Amino acid sequence: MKKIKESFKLIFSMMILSSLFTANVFAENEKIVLTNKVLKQVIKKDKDGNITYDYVEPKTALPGDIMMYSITFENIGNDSAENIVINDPVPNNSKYRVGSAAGENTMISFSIDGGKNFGNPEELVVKDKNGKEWTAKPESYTHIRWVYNKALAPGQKGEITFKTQIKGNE
Amino acid sequence: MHEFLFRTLLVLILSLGSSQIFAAAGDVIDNIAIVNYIYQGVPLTQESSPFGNPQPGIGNGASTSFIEDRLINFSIASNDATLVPVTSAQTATVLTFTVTNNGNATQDFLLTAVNTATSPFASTIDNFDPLSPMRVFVEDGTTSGYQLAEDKLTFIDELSAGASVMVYIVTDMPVVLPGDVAAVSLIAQIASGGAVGEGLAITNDDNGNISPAGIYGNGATSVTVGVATTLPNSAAMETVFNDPAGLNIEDVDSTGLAQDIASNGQASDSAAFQVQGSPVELIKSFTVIDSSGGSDPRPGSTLHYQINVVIGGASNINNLIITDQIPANTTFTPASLSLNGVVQTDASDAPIDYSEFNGSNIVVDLSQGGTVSVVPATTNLIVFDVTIN
Repeated sequence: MKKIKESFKLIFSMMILSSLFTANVFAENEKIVLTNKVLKQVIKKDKDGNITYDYVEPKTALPGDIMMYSITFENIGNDSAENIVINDPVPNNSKYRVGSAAGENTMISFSIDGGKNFGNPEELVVKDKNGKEWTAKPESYTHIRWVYNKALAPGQKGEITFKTQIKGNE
Repeated sequence: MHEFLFRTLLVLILSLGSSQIFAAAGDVIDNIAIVNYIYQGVPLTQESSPFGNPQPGIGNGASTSFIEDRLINFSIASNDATLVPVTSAQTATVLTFTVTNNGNATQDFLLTAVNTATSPFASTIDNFDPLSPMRVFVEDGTTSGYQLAEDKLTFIDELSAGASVMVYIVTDMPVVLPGDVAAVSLIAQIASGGAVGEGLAITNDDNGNISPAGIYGNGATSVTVGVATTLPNSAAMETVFNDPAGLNIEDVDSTGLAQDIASNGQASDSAAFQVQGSPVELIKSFTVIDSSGGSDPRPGSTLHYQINVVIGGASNINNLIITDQIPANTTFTPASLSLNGVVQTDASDAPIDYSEFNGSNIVVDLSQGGTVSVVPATTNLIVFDVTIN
């Protein structure tokens, strides 16, 4: 319940923010297409016992399963898009898989406070109840941010990915 | 652009591990990514959608989502690490098990106790069954351990994901002999949770797996064999049996009830009772024969002794030697010693026979100098006479 409230808050504040400068935008021509697909990682063994991973539609999704999110951003407009930053919350019931966030030409950072602040993994520190400081575990990340460090020219397409694991009874 | 990142040290007060949000069957797991960018000098915000959203503005995207399916995974483990001691004809003897729901939904479990042919404990042999019917009760949480007045539910009701509960098999012993062993299995069948009261058995999943049939709930509930279906998709909650196979090899049985293969919606484990005391029972009696054919124990009368050596239990007995001192003020009657009707010599003369009278005791070596084992469920009769001085 708390999570839902938080995401409402987030959306609400973003609506206010976006209404400040996007009043004339809805009728504009198309620019970027943002596509978000989720696939389930399955283990494939060949006849020699070698293991490879396959990514399939998540027909069954159970605690412990690993999901890969693939987000593409494609410029279908006539001008370059600049200062591209993509934010994605780690989905509900899921924990981020350490080291899984990827994306060419991007700088990746993480948040452990619902997307208020972002930092590199070593900059994310939590205190336990005894006051001892620990580097935050990747499972506690709430948001991931990719800063695309190029302009995206018309017709160009970028992709970012990350993986999660569906939580079990820990 | 790099300065866009906050290079601050983030210190949050979190009590680690205390804010676990359990994943649960049927939950929609969704995700919307948001891109911010500048296009023709105008900053834009835009949401993702599964098939591609071209429209800036909040509310124009759509969730990329799938439904978390129901994982059926549970285990049974006996809490009795050794044979549970009982006595012959004891009532309300108890075996204790722990049933754990390792799935992601609240479930009911139907329970049954069955006799198994194999003891889970090495070097013991199952050789009797408790009286029928065996009862199964679930710990109600008031007082740990089986309590007649408290633990009355015969099925597990609403066991939440990750939770465990103790289950008791309560039985009565027949008349049995020391050393006898009775092995018993507890079997649980997955059933629907979500409402108080006994849920219906879930006899198939949506992934091609089925449960075997059986009688559950102290005989009250008959579960039919499931019919396999394979209907997975990402738009609805399916059920997937992922329960492990039984903990002991004896859990796997050719009869449907005791099957405990993986992913069949059932789990089991075994434990065993053992009757306490020596497995060797000596029953001694005598009759008096006086010189006039009556039974008056006077000097000169003969005391006719019989010793029944009864072997109970479940194991062979080795080096079993019976020694009996003749009573004071009596005299052993030469050549009166017999074993199972066969007259024994008084002399120590193995291997002619393995019995003797040594001047004060009769000695009968049922193991014949350590060369044979005495098997369970046999009786040896030793007879000898003495006269009253």
